[in-house]
Amino acid sequence: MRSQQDSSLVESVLRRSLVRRPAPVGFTDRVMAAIREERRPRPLKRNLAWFFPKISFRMGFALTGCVCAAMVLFTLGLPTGREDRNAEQAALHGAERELAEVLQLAGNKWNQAQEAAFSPRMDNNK
Amino acid sequence: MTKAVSFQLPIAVLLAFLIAGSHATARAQGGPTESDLEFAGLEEKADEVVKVNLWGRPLEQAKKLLGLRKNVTASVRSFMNGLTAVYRRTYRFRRARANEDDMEPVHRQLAEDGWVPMIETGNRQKPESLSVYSFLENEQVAGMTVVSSDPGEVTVLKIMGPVDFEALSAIGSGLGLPVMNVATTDIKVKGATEEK
Repeated sequence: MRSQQDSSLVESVLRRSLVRRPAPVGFTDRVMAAIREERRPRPLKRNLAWFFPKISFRMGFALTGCVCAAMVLFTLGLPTGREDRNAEQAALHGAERELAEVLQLAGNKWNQAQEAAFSPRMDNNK
Repeated sequence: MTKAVSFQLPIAVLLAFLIAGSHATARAQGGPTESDLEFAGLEEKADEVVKVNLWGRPLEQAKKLLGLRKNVTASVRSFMNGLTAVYRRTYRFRRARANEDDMEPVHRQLAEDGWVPMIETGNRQKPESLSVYSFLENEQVAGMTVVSSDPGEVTVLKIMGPVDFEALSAIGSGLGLPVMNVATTDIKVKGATEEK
């Protein structure tokens, strides 16, 4: 008796489950739209391709090479810049020294010339 | 090829103008160009040559730097500020000796350039001479040149700009400028000793 009741229960559940229900309104359209969306290529937003969208591999390789070369040159150039500054400073001090020397020499000679020209004891007595 | 030539020609013309312009500017400023201070005879004969050409930015910087030093008096600073160019040629001789014939082109060149002798000193007993020339512009001294010679050394100093002789005299007496080791003329001393 009990087994008959159980089997009819199972049968009713199965029937309920197998009942064909109509799809909700607009379901097909939504599915088709989703499929179309899926076929469209996704924009690459999470890598650098958004920055170089049309860059080729070779071009990227060349660009990377250029950047590396620039960095190496910059690094090598740093000491040269420092040396240039030192050389400039040395040249500046050299110029100052030369100016002082020329003025001192000129002043010295000017005094000598004045002494020779205007000193009464200059006449061939030396 | 034609395109390259068509670019090269204007660039060459532009460069020529720039070079000519800089030369003309130096002339217009009243300063001698460096070529006016080349004495080939002395240079060939000398064992040691010292050349100083100071004008433009290096001179301005040197004046500023020297002006900041201690012991620089106001008159010396003012004199220095007026300078537009400073040149020095020193020829030192060890083997050969400088004589009057060597000096003749120097004096001739200065006379040709319009320099007027202010003081000329000489001594018959010693082969030494000292001349001071001035350059007048609008009846004012716009430069001075000192030519000194002895058998061991010839020096030509050219200072362009208004000359304050009092300030120059003070500098010559060791005043108004910081003490700097002025290049001593060892060779001159040697030469003088030999002469004696």
